[in-house]
Amino acid sequence: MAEAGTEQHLAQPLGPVNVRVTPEGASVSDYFELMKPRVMSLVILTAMTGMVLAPGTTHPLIQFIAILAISVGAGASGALNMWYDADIDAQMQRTTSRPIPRGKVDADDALAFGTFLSFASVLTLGLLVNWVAGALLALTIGFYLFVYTMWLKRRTAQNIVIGGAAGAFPPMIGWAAVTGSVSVESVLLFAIIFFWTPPHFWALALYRCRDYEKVGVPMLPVVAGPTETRRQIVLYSLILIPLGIAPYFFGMGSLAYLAASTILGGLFLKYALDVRRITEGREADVAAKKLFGFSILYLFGLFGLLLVEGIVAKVMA
Amino acid sequence: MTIQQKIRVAPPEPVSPESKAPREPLAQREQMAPPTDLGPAPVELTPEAKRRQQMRSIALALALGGLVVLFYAATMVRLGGNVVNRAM
Repeated sequence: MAEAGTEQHLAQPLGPVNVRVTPEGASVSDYFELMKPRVMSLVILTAMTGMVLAPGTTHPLIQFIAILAISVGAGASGALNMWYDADIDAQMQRTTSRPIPRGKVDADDALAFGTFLSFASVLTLGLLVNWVAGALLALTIGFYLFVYTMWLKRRTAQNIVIGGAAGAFPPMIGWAAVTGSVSVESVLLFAIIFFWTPPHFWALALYRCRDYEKVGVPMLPVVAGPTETRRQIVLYSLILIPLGIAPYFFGMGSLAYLAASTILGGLFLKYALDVRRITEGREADVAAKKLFGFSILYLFGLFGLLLVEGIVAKVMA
Repeated sequence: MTIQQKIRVAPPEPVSPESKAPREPLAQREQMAPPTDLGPAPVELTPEAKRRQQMRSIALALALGGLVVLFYAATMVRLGGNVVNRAM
């Protein structure tokens, strides 16, 4: 979707972070913050949805372990991301309050914490649930750290397009935790999050453009400009909306889901078109912020509805 | 040759003027003393640092304890009735 010509090598990493750790040391909540709890909440919701929609059942304890391992694995990759990106996090307004730039957690401790949790979550999922799910979780963590954080994020405007796959895996892992396999339905759930990620992050990047520019992260608005970014947001939204409705046609959602996903999709497109239309002044930032905020609501809405309907269907069966 | 004959007594070293300077008070000398085999002096933690360290230790213990319980319970669930079905 984004043009190949927009790929650039901008500024290299700023170097190791040089922050003096506060003498009182890190609290438990500082370590919890390293795991990006807000991202984890979305991972828990999407993984649970995949698990509930999957055919068949498993013991509730095994389901609980699967959700726990997937969320801890997501948290581990968040901690490793914060370790690697501490240098740019310290320079960006949005991320200066993270535990490493704030001097609450030592960068080496964050690396050890993330590495331990990565291995622990993958081994737990593999040993106690199944190895297909365990392998997918390992792939997710590896993809987020090595492909997105280390390779793509500072090199190409396609960073969040390709890197978005890491955030899209959880429903597939949840599905695999029950069935031990990957199916078309789980790929559809993956595709919804995959195509949701670019408009979500580009809306953010539109009003945080200077932050990204300052640290040399080639987000699309920095490299290709806001006009091209707005065009790409609308294009990805047009792909996302039918994908959001598609679970109904695969038997995963009811008529209520069809109606709700159509309305939510229509609103998503409206906010995306507002971003395309309003290009100047403070109103342009407001439009981008509205799309960013609504995109979170959209994804929570779709997966929340699928989850509730899935639970009701299993209880009634 | 006797032991006493083997020992050679070194001639006295000339005393430099610096060495005649008045010595520092005892407390100051102790501060400047090189580290002994016992290693550097332990860092005194503030009460807040101690509290946080204690909380981290408790969280770690709870997490590890929880993991043990989880593995035990999951093993029971997965094995089901087969848990008693083993070759004697």
